[in-house]
Amino acid sequence: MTNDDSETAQQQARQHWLAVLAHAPRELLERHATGLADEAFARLRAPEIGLTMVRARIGNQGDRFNVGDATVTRCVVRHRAADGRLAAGVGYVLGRDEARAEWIARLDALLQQPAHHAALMREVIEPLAAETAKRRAAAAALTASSRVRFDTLASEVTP
Amino acid sequence: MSATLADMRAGFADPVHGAQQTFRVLLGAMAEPGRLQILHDVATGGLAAADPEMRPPVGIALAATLLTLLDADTPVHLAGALGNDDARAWLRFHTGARDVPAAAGMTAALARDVDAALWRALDLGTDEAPQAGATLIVEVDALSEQPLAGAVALKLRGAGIATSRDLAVGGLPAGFWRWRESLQSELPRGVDLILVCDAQVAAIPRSTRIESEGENP
Repeated sequence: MTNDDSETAQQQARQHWLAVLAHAPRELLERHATGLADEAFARLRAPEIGLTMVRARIGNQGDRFNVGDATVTRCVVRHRAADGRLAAGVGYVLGRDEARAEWIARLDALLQQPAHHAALMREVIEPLAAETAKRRAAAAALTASSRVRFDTLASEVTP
Repeated sequence: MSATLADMRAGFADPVHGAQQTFRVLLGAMAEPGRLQILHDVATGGLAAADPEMRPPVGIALAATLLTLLDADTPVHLAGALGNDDARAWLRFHTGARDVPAAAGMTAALARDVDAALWRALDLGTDEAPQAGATLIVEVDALSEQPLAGAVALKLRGAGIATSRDLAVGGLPAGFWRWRESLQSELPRGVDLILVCDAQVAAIPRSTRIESEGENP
């Protein structure tokens, strides 16, 4: 494996856990994040609320257009492990929940520390990912039950 | 950029109030040229972190001034020793400002890096657009309203000063002050000067005349 490959793999792993954390329900996130030791963390960027422009393309093709502004809260913290190793964690969430952004930043920093990575993946990320997948599946099933299939109509007019 | 996010240093503990308090101090310094202003702990909270690995890569007053005045639309030139990767990355992270090579707008430097090449490159603006004139922020070795050994003693007159005001500045070469005096006939073109030292700030805007100077033994 070349250096680039392992860097990309690390990036993808981090993208995955950050996505899981960003979509996690508040109360689950709070339960996992409030037990962390405070003194090991320092704020590099205190939680701050701002706007971001959401852009999209119709049907995922054509030109990009601006959908509108969305409120985003972000935070950056630094964690010092017992062995002195430093890691910076970032948290970005939609909305104005400053505590949530900081929890995510803290968990992200810890997940980059080899000493904590495996345990956190097992105890936090995987259950949260399963929870989110379950919620999405339920929403998809609910939507699917009211789906209209236009292709049947189309096939009747074709000779 | 060699600096990674894990090595990043802190900025204002409270960005909104830190920047507001610092701005008020800078405003006071510009309104009363040559008067020493002190940045309070409220303004500089976070910049004097107990953990040495969290302290900004530049001095307290310089850090507070840069964090207050800069944003993504304000190019700055970090001259000499200031133009290192740590300082650049720190400024970019906290303000979004980019380090530009030429002296377009604002220049920050340590006193020992101020030389003729640096000040000749500063933009003085034009008579039609004097606001384009550069702002020079210098971290000097010493700053005092009393005469100071080894420092250049300046007598300042002009707008914002009742009669005259004394200011002792250590670390800037004599040639710099001669150049500054030569600009006085150019008004409204010119360069606004902000001097910082530890937590002290003093300003010498372009409207201030430097009447006499002399080095204290």
